[in-house]
Amino acid sequence: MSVEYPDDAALVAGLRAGEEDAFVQLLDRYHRLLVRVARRFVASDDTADEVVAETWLAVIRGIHTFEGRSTLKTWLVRILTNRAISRGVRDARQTPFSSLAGDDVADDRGGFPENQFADQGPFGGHWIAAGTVRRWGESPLDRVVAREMVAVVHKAAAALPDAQRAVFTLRDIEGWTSDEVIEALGLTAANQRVLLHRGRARVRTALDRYDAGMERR
Amino acid sequence: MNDESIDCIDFVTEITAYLDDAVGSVRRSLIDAHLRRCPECTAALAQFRRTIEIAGHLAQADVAALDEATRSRLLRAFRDRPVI
Repeated sequence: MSVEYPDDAALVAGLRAGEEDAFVQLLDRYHRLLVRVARRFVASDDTADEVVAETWLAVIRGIHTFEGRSTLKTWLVRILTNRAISRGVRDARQTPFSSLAGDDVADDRGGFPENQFADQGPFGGHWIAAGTVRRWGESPLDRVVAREMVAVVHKAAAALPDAQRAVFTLRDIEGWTSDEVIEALGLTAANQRVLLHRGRARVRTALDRYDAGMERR
Repeated sequence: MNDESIDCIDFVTEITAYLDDAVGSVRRSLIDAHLRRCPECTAALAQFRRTIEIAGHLAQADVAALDEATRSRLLRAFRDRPVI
């Protein structure tokens, strides 16, 4: 009969006491999350599986260092992130997640091109015309379109720069709070928001293109 | 009146901060007032919300459970860990 650990605190206590049931439940609770996140952090599924295995080994070695100041979930992903960074994340560039690459002015504008705004006159800084922003099909999506839109997001998210992809994955795909993401990735609140906004801007732009294509069908 | 204090080109840079409720209460009420009068900014906000909603569906993509070989290997490592 295996022991039930009702929450993370009980689980951590069990792990520290060396209870195998606790470790089994830790794997059951968090393995899939780590695999999903790792697959978005590194280039191949095989590498992701290796990074997750390394993460679990690091957890075994380091469980006594978990202080409970962060949640177990953010602590695990923080370890995973460090393993992924040591693998060069996506493309062998050693990009610290805290770095903000370039100044992506268009992405800061949510991906809306500058020429969609009036540059002077009484309407300077406002949208150039009514209907400039596309209204995406709001009617209940049929399953095919819904699946296609999810695929568009998947592809656009995969193409994001490392740091944006990491933040977008945790915030919008996994549904984490900004505090959790700040904790797991070691970002400042301001950087987290900028990275998320730029990532969303690019994904939004991809969906907008898809929606425009649907209309022409 | 107040509407003039929000430029659309500024609002689009603040959408994520607005959605995170990180803009400050004064700014937030200016934005809310602006949104009531600006269908384009409302549409831009709707696009962001929809993007987030669709992204949420990606987490449902299932990944395989831990395979037995890896599970046993990790359990062995847990059992054999050096005791601090």
